[in-house]
Amino acid sequence: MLPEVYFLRYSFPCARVLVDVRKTITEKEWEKLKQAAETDTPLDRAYLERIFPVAIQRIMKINPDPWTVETIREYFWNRHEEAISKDLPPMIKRLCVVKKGKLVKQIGDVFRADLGDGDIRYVHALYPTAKAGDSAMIHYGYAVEKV
Amino acid sequence: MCMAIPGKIIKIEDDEATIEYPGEQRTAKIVEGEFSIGDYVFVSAQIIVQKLSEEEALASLKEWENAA
Repeated sequence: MLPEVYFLRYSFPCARVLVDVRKTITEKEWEKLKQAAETDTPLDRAYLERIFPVAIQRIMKINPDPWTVETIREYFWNRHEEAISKDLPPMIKRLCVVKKGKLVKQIGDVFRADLGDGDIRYVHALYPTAKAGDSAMIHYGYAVEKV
Repeated sequence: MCMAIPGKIIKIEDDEATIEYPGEQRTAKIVEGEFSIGDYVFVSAQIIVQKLSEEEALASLKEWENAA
């Protein structure tokens, strides 16, 4: 998979924060990210670096070349939580952590996901092969990757 | 559409909830389960992802207002 596509699958789910809280991107830019994330359309790296500067900077602390799937995975699986800014609302701080969950049941094009500890969410899947029974990494309101 | 802040359910009609946010209202689909008027929820891609505790919702809204 292209690193740009992999990165966007993980970063798009909480991009809403950039519109509603940080106000660094517009509604139109968010729609463009959504369209690309849902269709696995690769976006230009320089564009992604401009939209997600904080994430990219933190990924570069792991590897000066942020554009490898392994490095992006390491960030979102293991380092994203510490990067979630302390001044964000509690709901965002909690939901923004990338966690493993089980896709318990498919209801239309949505899945009931169980992340444990009473954390049940209804999520859309960003990976096309998603099916009930999968273990998947869940970010915010999306199932991002089967694991 | 989703909002990075909690919304409050103000109306339910079948599986469609009307959700109130500061300055606007939006609709979202109830996928499963029971919800009530007054529930605080998190919405993403036009579905209700999760019901939030009132405590978490109000603290989040306050934090959001402080950031504005």
